[in-house]
Amino acid sequence: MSQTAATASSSSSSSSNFLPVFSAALETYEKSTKYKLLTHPLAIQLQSCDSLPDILSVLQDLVQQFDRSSSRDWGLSSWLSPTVNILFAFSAALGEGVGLVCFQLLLYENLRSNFVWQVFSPTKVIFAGIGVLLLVSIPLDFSAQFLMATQSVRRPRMLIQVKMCLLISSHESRISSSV
Amino acid sequence: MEVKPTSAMTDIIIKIMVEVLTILGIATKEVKQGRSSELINIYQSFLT
Repeated sequence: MSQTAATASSSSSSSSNFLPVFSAALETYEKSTKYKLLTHPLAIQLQSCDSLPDILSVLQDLVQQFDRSSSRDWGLSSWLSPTVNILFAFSAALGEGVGLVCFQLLLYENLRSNFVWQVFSPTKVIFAGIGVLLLVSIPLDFSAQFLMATQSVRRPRMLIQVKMCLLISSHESRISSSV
Repeated sequence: MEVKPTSAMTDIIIKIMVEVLTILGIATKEVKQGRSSELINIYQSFLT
């Protein structure tokens, strides 16, 4: 249940041109990835981050998850901080007057819910995009690698199918619990 | 000293941000597709 719209244009023509262009880019992103960035749990988590260290902390957690599950060091930690720093500076340069509006349902711990309007700065949308990329890049459980390594062992077909279903669902639940 | 961005600078920042989002979309799609085919390969290798 979401609706996106461009809002709050600033006095400069650049900023007013920005929203349609960015909204179009966001639409293209959502079509190609099938992820709705404005309603993604990661975006909601990032929405509550007001400072640079808070944002870095959220993304750093994802990088650490990726590093733990990968046998190779991709050096993601080294590029994360400068990238986030630059994007944060861009956000400051554009000002607070530019935002994307999303109407969304918030669920609280006491099972109550409420519809609210959320205004996302474009930079936070990009941070959410970085987070989603990290999430989908986290390799399958080591158990999957183990299964790949032992693929020559023949097992009853039904047992394998059940194991694959469990494996996929555990990977999906790990992704959702990590955000 | 803080420099107020000119309209040209803002335009470039906008273009960069749009490009970043586009690249993130392409990368995410590619990784997702790679992951899907990886799963299919694992699944098929067990069924054969």
